[in-house]
Parts: sequence; structure tokens; C-alpha cells
Amino acid sequence: MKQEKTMKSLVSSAKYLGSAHSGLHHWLSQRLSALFLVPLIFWFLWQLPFIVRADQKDSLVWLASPVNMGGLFLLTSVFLYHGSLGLQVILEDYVAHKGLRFLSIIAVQFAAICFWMTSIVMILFLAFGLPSSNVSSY
Amino acid sequence: MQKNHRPISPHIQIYKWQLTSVMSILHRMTGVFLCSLVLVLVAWLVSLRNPEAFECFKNIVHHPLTQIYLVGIIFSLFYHLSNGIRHLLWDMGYGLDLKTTYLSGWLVLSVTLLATIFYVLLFIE
Repeated sequence: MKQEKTMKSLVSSAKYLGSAHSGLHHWLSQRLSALFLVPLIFWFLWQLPFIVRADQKDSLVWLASPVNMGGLFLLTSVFLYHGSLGLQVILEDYVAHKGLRFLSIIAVQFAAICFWMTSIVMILFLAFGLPSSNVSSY
Repeated sequence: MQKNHRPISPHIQIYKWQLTSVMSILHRMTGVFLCSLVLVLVAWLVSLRNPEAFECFKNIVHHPLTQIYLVGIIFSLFYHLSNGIRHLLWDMGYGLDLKTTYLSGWLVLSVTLLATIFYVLLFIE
């Protein structure tokens, strides 16, 4: 092979960029968030039958309880984190085009942050909203 | 570079369907499907701002197509949860032999089906 005119050392060009050394962190984060989701999902499955039967006022009362607000806050956050990590792995596996793969992963993470922000703002807004929840719009 | 026209592995069409491979891809598919649940959550939270929006949200939830979607979500949730625990046990080094893998696979499928049926029954008036 012809030696290119470059400042790069032979070792560095042989190794190319090498590993990003963040694979283990990703792997572990996905498993730890999964472990965290298990009790949160059980809590959610327990609460869901009450929530679907509640009208608007009861739902706001449910949300204003610190335990429910905190639970939903945690569930949403860990759910979106675990989901975006999972989608990233799937995109890395199936999107062959390098640029498209990079863009789609960035898009997923951007969407996850937007959904996270929206749900957290709404939870806080509704829970700390006007004390009389029979006001038609606020 | 010369374009390579030789066959590329894996050849999905000629592979024999196995419990392990089907459950593996189903784990990914249910995972992707479950991500859509965040849209329902945000819609619910936004609709709570006023009674008319909440009525609209309830009407959408009670639509037959939405009900089918939600049953699919419940199934996916139980599947991803139980198969996820199976994955975590594998990561800790348990149940990696072929016999236990098939046994836990059938166990996950049975638990998913039973849990889905019983949980959906809780919502039928």
C-alpha cells in the first residue's frame, strides 16, 4: 500500500478512530433504566384502572397528590430515557446509511427531550395550577 | 470499489422459525410500539387543562380503533416487561442453556397472554 502524505502516524491510521469507549455505559444505562422501570410500571398498572374511570376534576386531584405526581414524573423520565436508548440501538442496527443513521438518532433524542419537557411542564402546571379545578380553562 | 453482488447474510427467508428468534424480534417490535405511549400521555396531560378538551380526549380513547391500539399496548407492556426480566437474568448469567431458554420463553408467553386477558377484563364495564 502506498504511504499517504499525512501527519497521521502509521499506528493511528491503522487503528482509525477506534472505539468510542462509551458502549459499556450505553449498555449499562439501558439495563439500569429497565430495572428502575419494573416497579414504576407495576405502580402504573395498579393506578391505571382508577385513572381511566376518573373525570377531569378527579384526574387533577389524582395528579396533585405528591406520590402520584412524583411517580408520573419518574415514570415519564425513565420511560423516555429507556425508550430513546432502545430506539438508538435499533437505528444503529438497521439504518445502513451512515448520515441517515446519525440524523435519525439525533432526531429521536431531540423528540424524546421535547416530549419530556412537555410532559414535565404539564404535570407541574396542572398539579400546582389553580386550587379550584372546576375552572373551565386556565 | 467494485460493487459486491454476492448474497448477504443473514438470509431471513431461509431461516427456520424458532421460538428464540421470534421472541427476540418481538421484544424490539413491542419496544418500538410502546414508545408511542408517550403521545397518549402528553395528549392526556394537555387535555386536562379544560373540560371540553378532556371530553374530546375521552371520546378518542373510547373509539374502537383506539381500544384495539390500547389492548395492543397492554399486550406489549406485559410482553416487554416479562421478557425484559428474562433478558436481565441472562445478563446476570442465569438460564443461558438451551433447555432453560426455551422454558423461560414459553413461560414469558404464557404470563403475557394470561396477564393481558386478566388486566383487560378490569377495564370492561
